[in-house]
Amino acid sequence: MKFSERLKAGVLLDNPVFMQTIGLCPSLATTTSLSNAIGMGVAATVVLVCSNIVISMLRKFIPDKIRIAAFISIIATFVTLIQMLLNAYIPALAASLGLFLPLIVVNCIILGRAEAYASKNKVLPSALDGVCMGLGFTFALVLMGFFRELLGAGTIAAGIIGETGIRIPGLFENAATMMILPAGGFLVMGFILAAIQKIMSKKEDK
Amino acid sequence: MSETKKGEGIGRLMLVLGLITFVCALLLGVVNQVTAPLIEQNKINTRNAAMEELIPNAVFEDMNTVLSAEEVAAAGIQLPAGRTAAAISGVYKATVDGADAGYCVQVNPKGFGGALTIIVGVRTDSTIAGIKVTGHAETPGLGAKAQTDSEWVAQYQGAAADGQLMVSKDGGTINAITGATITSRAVTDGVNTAAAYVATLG
Repeated sequence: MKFSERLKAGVLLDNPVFMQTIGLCPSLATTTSLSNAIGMGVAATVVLVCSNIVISMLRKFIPDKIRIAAFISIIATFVTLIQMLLNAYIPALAASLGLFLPLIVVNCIILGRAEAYASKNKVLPSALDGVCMGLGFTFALVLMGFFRELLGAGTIAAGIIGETGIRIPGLFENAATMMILPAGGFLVMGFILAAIQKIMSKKEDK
Repeated sequence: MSETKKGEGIGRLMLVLGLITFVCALLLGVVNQVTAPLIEQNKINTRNAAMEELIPNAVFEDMNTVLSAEEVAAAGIQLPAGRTAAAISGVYKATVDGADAGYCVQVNPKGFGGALTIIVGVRTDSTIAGIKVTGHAETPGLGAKAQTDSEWVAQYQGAAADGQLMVSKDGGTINAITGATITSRAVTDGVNTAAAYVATLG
């Protein structure tokens, strides 16, 4: 498959969050703002690419029966390694990512791609798959983070464009705090999924 | 999976999984050896930078004080009813130009996601010089604001260091972070513990 097709699949047609509906826990927990969403998305993408490459290299070596245990060991090792290295060499980034890093271990997108793709394909396509799925995940997080921050805090891109971001007059004073709480996460997720289903069904009708 | 190979006996399974975990553990051990001293140094740098910000131009003397929450509580400090003391992991006496300038206390109150690390500056006139959250495991976007939201943290600045601060939900003056009352209470407990402990030092 060509890269452009893979990218389209990862971000749109086969989007891990909106289409496969996996990785919902980090999607709901970390999308309280755009900057959080980007942080989680990028961190997960890096781990996803690394683990896909290693698991693809070891795919003939790992027996079927113990593959899940082996995958989890490899993924957890990567996450811990990255966490230690970041803390040691780029402490500022480690501080801003905070809890996101250890959360990646339980991100089922990474195990999902290891199981569904990397364990059956060569190294290069697996790495590409990691990039595309990671971008898809990041895209989903960014979409949710944007709306939740806009409605819940009344700002756009706080922490990215200056410390306070762009404050939306009218919304900032009357922000619906519920939207950055877990309930708001479910609401935004529901509306986005509904919108996507609507668009998809229209396409099928044609 | 496509590769169903012969010889997938229990012995081979154990060998392969053992080998994978061994390599993982080895890798982690080596990297930990390399990074642990650097991480420790980073923590000290963060602490020093925070203390410099709270009480500028001071020379800090490490009082070598490390107390568990129980030991702090047993020291007879006065806290608001129903609140518990936090552990103290360092007390630093500040001196500016030879004169006492107060203390910086590193406290570790229990938050929502584990212990926080907070540096609390207490001036000699029994006011809070300021606080700085240097480490935490709170929820991103909610409790984590205790570290990133400078407007929220500024509430403590200049408050009386009598160890009686409370969040507004409990009848006090500190506005809790939206959606993170537990974190706000933990920070307040930490500040109170530090203030009350400094008061016992005289």
